[in-house]
Amino acid sequence: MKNWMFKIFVTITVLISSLTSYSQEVNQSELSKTFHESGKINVVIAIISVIFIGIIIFLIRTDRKINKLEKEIGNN
Amino acid sequence: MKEVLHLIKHELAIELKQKHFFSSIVLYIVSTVFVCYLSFSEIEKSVVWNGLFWVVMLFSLTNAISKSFINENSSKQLFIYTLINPRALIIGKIIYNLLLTLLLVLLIFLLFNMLIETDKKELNTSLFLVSCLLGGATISSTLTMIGAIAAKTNNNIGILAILAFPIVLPSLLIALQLTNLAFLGGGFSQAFDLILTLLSINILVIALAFLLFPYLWKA
Amino acid sequence: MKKNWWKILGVLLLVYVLVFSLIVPLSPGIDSIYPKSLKTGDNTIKLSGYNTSFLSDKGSLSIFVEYGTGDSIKTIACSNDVTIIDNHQISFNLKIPESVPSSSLNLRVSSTQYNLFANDIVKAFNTDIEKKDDYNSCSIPAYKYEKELSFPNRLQLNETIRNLMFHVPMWFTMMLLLLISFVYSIRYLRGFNIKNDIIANQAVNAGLIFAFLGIITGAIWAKFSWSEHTELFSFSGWWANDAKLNGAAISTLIYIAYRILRNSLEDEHQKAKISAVYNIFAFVLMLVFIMVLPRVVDSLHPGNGGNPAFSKYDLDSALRMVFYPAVIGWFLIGCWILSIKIRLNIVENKLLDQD
Repeated sequence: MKNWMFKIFVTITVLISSLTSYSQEVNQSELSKTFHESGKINVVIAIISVIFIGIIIFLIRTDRKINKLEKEIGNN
Repeated sequence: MKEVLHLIKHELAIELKQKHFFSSIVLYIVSTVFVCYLSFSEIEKSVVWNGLFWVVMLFSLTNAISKSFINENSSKQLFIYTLINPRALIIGKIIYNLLLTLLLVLLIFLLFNMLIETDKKELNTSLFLVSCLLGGATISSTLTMIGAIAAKTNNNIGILAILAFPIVLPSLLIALQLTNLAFLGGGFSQAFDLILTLLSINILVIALAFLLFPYLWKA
Repeated sequence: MKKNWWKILGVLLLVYVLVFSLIVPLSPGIDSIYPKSLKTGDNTIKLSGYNTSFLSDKGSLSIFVEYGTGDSIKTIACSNDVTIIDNHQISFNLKIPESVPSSSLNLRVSSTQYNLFANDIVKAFNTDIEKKDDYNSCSIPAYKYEKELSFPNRLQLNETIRNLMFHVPMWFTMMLLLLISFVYSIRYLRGFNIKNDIIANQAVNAGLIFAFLGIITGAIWAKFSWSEHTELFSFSGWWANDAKLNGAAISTLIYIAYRILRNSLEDEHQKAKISAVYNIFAFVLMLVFIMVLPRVVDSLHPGNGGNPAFSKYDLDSALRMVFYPAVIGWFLIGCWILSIKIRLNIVENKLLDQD
């Protein structure tokens, strides 16, 4: 469990830090602009990806549960 | 009905015997209000005053009512309760807690008004008091039911707050709206709708408690 | 395969929704107007459009200021003196009469190809509000046009109207799952069958997934359509004091509390009983909360008060064509997730019993 949380934490940190470094390169307002220009289509993309990630997280968790069950069956 | 009356008498008798509980909750209220007084002393906007008032109310009531199902663990208490119909028990508890709440609400109301100044030019005091009592009553009956649930777990008070706060919120918000109206000088005719909603929430809560409590009791 | 038809249906519906919600173009609309309010007398207004082709509309562009909806639309002012800057920008003059019927007026840009609406252009204070039958009658004819299949283009919302198909069904599905949980909690208390408790519990778990997704997507959407804080890396703007948002947050909190309650109980039957009681109690009060809240807090969501998001008639045929399948599709997917969770839990319990 802890291992899994740690992985997620690292991923998020890396993601955020990469985003921040990107924003420093490009200029703060430039990045936020991407969500406002061309009719805010990027907001739609963001939202669809959030839902996608949510479903993936559900898949990962189910996978882990099944792993646990498999191990239990193996032990018996 | 007889059972209910008996229970209330019993609770009162215990309360009078163990004065430390009541005095501790009064002390809690006094010190909370005093802390507010020291940090604010005067609040210009009545809306802020109102918000603070209800926060103090919520915490004091939670603290007071969380104790109502705690002493149950003593074996003597348990013996008494096995003889009683669970529905009578929950109604008795709710009524007893209502009485306690009314007292505490009056106390908080007095202390708050005395210590913390605000703009009370247009305050409709009777509406304010009525909405305080009604809001307090609704909050206390909800808390009683949740208290019964929380008593079944090990760490009581923490769980009570977690379980109760989101559920108490609608009544709290309506009560807040009502007292805000009172500060603007509104009358009972304007507040009628809100008062009715609050009352019906209260009745709904009591009805739910009446229906669901026997299952808790058997558990 | 026969047993699984509904899962396939759900997936197909979602594929349809994904394709159509992204492929249907947005109808031309107004991106921004400056100044945002009209005043009595002459107004010079700059307007920029989205998906427009003003250059090809040369000569046919005219501007109307209107009041009312449906058949009772009254024109208050109009103009066809339009300067076309490029395909997306025009400027024009408007003369507003001394008195107008309401403080919320609608602006319409009309051409042979389309009508562009900007609702609730607030008038300045120095105009009287007075209802008259006759205002400055306009002699410019309004064009009739045929509407192609497209999503409505609203001020502030623009392309994000497509989120309707992804964000809103999350809440619908959450409510469905919580309703299932409520029903099975009642059924548990009637027969004390542990299977009903498993369903109730897993329905809450599945509902929470959708609740979190709904909150995150809602926050992103709110940030970029309602908020004035446009910087990406700032804390403000992700949350709006909105009845629906607060209701959602509270119901999420209630069901997180439900999970905590379950975790703090040990005996299986006691756990089932007490959490069922809490579930019933909480669900009823949550419904009350959701009904009561809009009276206490204003909502930015459509259908509540004057907000420029979208009004009822905006849920037009094109949107409906995708939105209803989206809701059904997500319902089916929600039930699928629920069934997976229930089956896993049952298998888990069986294994535990064997040990």
